[in-house]
Amino acid sequence: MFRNPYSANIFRFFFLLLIQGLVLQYIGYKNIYLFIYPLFLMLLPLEIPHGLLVFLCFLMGISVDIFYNGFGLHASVMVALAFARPLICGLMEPRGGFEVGQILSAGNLGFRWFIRYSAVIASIHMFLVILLEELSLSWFMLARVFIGFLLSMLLMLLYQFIFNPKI
Amino acid sequence: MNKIAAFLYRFNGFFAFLILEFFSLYFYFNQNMSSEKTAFLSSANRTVGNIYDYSNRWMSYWNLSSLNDALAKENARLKMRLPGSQFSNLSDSGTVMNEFFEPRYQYTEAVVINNSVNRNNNYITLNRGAKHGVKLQNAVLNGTGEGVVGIIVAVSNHFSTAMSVLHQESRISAKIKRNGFYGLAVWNGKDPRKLTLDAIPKHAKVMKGDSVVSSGYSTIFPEGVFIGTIDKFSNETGTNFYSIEISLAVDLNSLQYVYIVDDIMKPELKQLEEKIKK
Repeated sequence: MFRNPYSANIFRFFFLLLIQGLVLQYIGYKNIYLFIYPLFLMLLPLEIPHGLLVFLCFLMGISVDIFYNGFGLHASVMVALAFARPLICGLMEPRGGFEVGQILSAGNLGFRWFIRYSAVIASIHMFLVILLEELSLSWFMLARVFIGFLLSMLLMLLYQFIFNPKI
Repeated sequence: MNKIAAFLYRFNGFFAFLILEFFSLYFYFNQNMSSEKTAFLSSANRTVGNIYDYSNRWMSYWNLSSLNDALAKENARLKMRLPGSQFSNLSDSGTVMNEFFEPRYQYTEAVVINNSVNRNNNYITLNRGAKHGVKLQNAVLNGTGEGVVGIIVAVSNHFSTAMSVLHQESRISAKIKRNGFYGLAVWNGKDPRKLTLDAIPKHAKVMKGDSVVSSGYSTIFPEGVFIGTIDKFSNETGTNFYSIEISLAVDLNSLQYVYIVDDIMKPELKQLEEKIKK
């Protein structure tokens, strides 16, 4: 659908933001959250400068905050994750290494790899959001994290099935 | 100089992280202190407010029939309250008269354009803002004007955001209507249909089904606005207070029209109370 990475990512930014803010916000039961917008962070190109990566994820987080009345909650989690992404990618590098110019999507690296990659990021994301919100640890909170994480993972994989992004 | 630039460039990700993380955490932990400044960060933000306004125009069709019922009921109730002859005189004033016939509360009707009940801290976005006379700390009542919904915490020109009663920091001064004992109605963060009523002393007589209304001691809610009925209460040892559970009168899930209530005499009252403190 898109030929260059700029338009693809700009489109993805607004698309994911609108799904998150206008649809997923209303779905949820008893404090279980569904998030699809971390996909934006996962699918940014690997070669992007680290500072720019952090800044773009901050923009995404603050936009979601505006929809969610989060006052910086999602922004701070996204900034922390963006900072850690090169580290996570380094730890999960496949045997042959990443190919230049590829994004880290299921279409490029296979579903098994993508499931592992998104599971790490989505679980950290969900955990941090709920931890920052409750500011305490409990079994109830961990249950919220776990259920929300499973449902969000399903959504993210579904997005890969439907759009199969390559750039 | 070059070395500093090179250093900054080399660790650009780290510095971006430090600055932006500080910025967002600062806003997150200071959200209640500067609501005027952070209004653009909430859904009272103009762009998002307009998006919500637009999407609400489509979603509102789902509730039209129940809304119709509620409005008809309210009409009936208002008509009963008015002496028939004075109906036409009163219908054009937006204010309610108190017993000395001086207006005290200003009612502004508003449409709920965004709402949540299933988060830890729930907010409601309304399509009325500073331009329509909405101020911070105004009360929000439900469509029939007889149930507590929340308190305005952020106002922009055309929109405002209210902290719903389903918010960890919502404290509503409440009293038991039958005997006048007063306490605080707070939300425990779990069930969106239940509040707890704190600080009712044990020598008060409490019964299941007692109605709990706002006390009017704070200048936010008018006196006697219905909050809910006592669902269950228990006498716990080691404390002087009951632990009471109220079931909420308003179904916050299906909220569509609300009233924003401004206490016109609030500045005067505040000034008087300040004088005593000095």
